[in-house]
Amino acid sequence: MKNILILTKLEIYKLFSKGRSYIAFGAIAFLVFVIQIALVVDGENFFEFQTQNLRDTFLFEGNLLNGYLTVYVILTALLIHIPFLIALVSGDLIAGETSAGTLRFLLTRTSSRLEIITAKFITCIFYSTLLVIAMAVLSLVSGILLFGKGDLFVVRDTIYIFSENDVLWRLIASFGFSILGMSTVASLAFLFSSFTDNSVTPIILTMVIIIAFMILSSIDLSIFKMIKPFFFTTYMNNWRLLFEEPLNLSKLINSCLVLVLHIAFFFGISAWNFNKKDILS
Amino acid sequence: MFDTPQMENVPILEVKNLSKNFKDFTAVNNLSFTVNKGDVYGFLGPNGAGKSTSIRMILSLIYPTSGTILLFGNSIKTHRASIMKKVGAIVERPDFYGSLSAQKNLEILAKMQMEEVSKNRISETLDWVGLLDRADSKVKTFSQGMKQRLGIAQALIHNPELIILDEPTNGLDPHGMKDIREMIISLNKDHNKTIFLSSHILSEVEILANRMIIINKGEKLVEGDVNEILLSGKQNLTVEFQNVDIALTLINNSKYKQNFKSVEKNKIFFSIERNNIPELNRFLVQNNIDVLAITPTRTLEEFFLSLT
Repeated sequence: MKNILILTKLEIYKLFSKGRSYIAFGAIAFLVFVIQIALVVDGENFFEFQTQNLRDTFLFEGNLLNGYLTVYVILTALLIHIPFLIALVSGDLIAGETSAGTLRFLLTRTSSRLEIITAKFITCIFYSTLLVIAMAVLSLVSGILLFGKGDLFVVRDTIYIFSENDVLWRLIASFGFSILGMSTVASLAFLFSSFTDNSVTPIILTMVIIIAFMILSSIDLSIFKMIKPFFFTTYMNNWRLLFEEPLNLSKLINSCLVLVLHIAFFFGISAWNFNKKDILS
Repeated sequence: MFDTPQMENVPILEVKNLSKNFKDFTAVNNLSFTVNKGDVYGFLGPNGAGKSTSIRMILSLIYPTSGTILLFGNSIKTHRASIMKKVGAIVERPDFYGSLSAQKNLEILAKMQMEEVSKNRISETLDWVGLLDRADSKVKTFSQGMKQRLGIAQALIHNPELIILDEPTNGLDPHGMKDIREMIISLNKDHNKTIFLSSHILSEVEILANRMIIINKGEKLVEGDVNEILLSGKQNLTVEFQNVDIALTLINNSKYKQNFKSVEKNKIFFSIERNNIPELNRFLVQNNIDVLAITPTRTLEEFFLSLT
């Protein structure tokens, strides 16, 4: 255990010594900034457009274009696209060292292969977690500073209105759930990374799988509906369950478990493959 | 800088019936040899002979199809961690984290050894390989020769007993080759390190090693004392003359005609037993032939041909 801790520290140090590790943070900061500025400039129109069909039957009062709504908008918009940024780093963790030749040096040290891959995997999950936390902090702080707090108005199949003091925990829990979703993506890219000798292939494969699953899930054919529960992407978006009333806790927990099982499965295969493979590069 | 253990003639690396197949291709076939403590053991063979595959198996980067590898009397399969504490290695080209400094690279690799290695020790090692003044430079700014020296530094950082060097002079200019060879000699003579040196250059092994094995197509051709192996069989010799025509006439009318191979400009090439070289020289001088130079020129390829 002590070895894994030492190795993980080294992996995190190596990860953050690479420029590409900061691309995702930069992209998220930029997007959050752009979305918030756009909402400052055109937020009222945006909100009116979203609620135009309801204006005849509802009376809108108070600060409805508030920081919580902007965070919800950012969550909806960014969580679909962050997987690419996650894959960019996770797909490089093993394959990058294989292609660079540094893996040979690591594997001629006293640490076992299992210890090394475990440390790399922890680093992979740590990175995904940090990215989602960065997104949460940036969007919450900037949203509240620019727009203040208020009730959250969510229009889906039904209209949900959450009072101001009932929103923050839901947003934080959503980010928590997103950590699981993004960690699943990271684990998938990590799995591919253990099989290939270049870091481009894992990134492409991960994105192809996510896009394919999402497309198939969105088509309303009975055959796709049947297989939809077997796509992990189906569960990644279930953070939205937190913005429904009543809260479907069992479905939420079930989604969390499915994602955790996927993470464990992807890591298991990665470790098995890494342990048995010949290092030829 | 290094501990200086007593020299003992005990096996440090024992390879027994080692084989590796990649699908239909046999990279290493039933290879056996022993490296003793204090040896500079030459592992010689042309490119593609199976040297790197064998080294990777010794270091457990590649799993053997069959055979056993014992290091310090223990199997690498079952005692990997304790064995790797005593082994330092460069496998093929030395690759590092280019965006990190030489010092940081060594710190990372030292920590991966799970042993406390002081900053002082890292500085000493960098100093020994002549890189102390570049300790804080990013490795991506290093030349091939500097990377090779840093490769040796990383292999030494934990003060191992056995150092495995896979083609350490590959890609270096003559000056760089000389530096690395001097380091190898010093490691063996001054610090009593056992060196396992893979190379495809016969002269390199001839200069550095006391024992050697020659492999080709994954199989052992010969193993033993370097001098004994190299003295056996014929050697190619280049003799440079003031007047090659007179020398050629003399040779064609002598018993050395059978040793004659070819002529080029003012040089004549012979294939001759090493023990007969002084006699040939005497014969030429006694016949008033001005000899400018006598150079043994046996290449690895030619040596292989003499073995097979």
